[in-house]
Amino acid sequence: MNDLIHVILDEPQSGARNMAVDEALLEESLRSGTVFLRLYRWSEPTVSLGYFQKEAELCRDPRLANLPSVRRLSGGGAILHHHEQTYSCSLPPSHRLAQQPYQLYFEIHAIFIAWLTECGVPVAPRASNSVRKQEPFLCFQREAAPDLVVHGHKIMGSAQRRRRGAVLQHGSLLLKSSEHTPELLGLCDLIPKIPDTIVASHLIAQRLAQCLGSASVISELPALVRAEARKMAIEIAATDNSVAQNQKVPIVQISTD
Amino acid sequence: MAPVNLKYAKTHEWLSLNGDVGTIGISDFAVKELTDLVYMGLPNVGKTLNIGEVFGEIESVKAVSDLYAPVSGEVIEVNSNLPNDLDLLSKDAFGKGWLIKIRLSNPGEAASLLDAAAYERECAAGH
Repeated sequence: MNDLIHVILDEPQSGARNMAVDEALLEESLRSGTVFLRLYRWSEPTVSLGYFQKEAELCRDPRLANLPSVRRLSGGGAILHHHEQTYSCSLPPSHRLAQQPYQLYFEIHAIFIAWLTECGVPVAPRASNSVRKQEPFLCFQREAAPDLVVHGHKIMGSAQRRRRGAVLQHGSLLLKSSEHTPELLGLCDLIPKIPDTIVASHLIAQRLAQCLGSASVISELPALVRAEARKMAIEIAATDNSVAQNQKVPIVQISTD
Repeated sequence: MAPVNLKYAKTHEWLSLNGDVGTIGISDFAVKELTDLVYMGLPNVGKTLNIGEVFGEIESVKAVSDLYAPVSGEVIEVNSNLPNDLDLLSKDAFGKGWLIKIRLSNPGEAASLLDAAAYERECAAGH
């Protein structure tokens, strides 16, 4: 079962829904042993916070404070999902890369390196870790060995949740800078003539699936996963709303003083 | 080396028993596998845990991993030094890096845990 990869090319969704689907897929991998690969986007500019990041940090950046936000299951820094491509893969405990989860970062990123290189992008892994005492709030300003870098700018990072031997890894390929974070440049800003196929999610998915197993099939979200994700999304959205009530309002007051 | 006076879960938590009070931590092997630890979340005193239930999370290299209760019981103490000083865990996982103490509600559960030799075999097998 581990050799067949279920590929889900998802429609753009809200932050709560996207994170709920990823968690539901992780649970389904644990339950059924299925490997899932998902490519998705976000229906509106949304900030995802690393699992341990504080909402108060988000509120300190007035450019981001009033955007929709959601907490990821995974670690690392905050990501503004605007002009970017997100992927996730969920591996059951029996998968060879679930047993070497740090290696999973490098194997998935190696696929992106091969793909981007073919498209004429001079991309390379960062190759060394740099954990600072006070890490920047944004993921794309942090430095980790598996990061992908173009002309010194980080254009891709990934993070994981490990649960009972199963692994969820999701990551973000920055395509273009956002007006909310203009200091973060994406592929289109760094490479003047980039082919349109670079964002063809089905082509990237095909490559990624080959890394994870010997065969793949384009799938819909399993009914059980869809139902579970719907429930989780409601809970996540409720949490985010309470964050908005408790955290974001004072920031508006501060900025008008 | 896993201390022989402790019991172990396959998920790498250790248990030290003193009457009906158990001290719980994670093994040196698990800490080394996780590498650079950056954040940890632990439960509040008074929380009731069932065996196998998630009682905390730990982040390393952008990966968040769950911590599982090796036995059931009520949390009676939390190592308050830890979230701010994860070096304690990296340097002394079986001592100063303990995580929580619980009053066991079913002490018989401890018998299902591994001894040090069996736990080391699990680790050697890559589990």
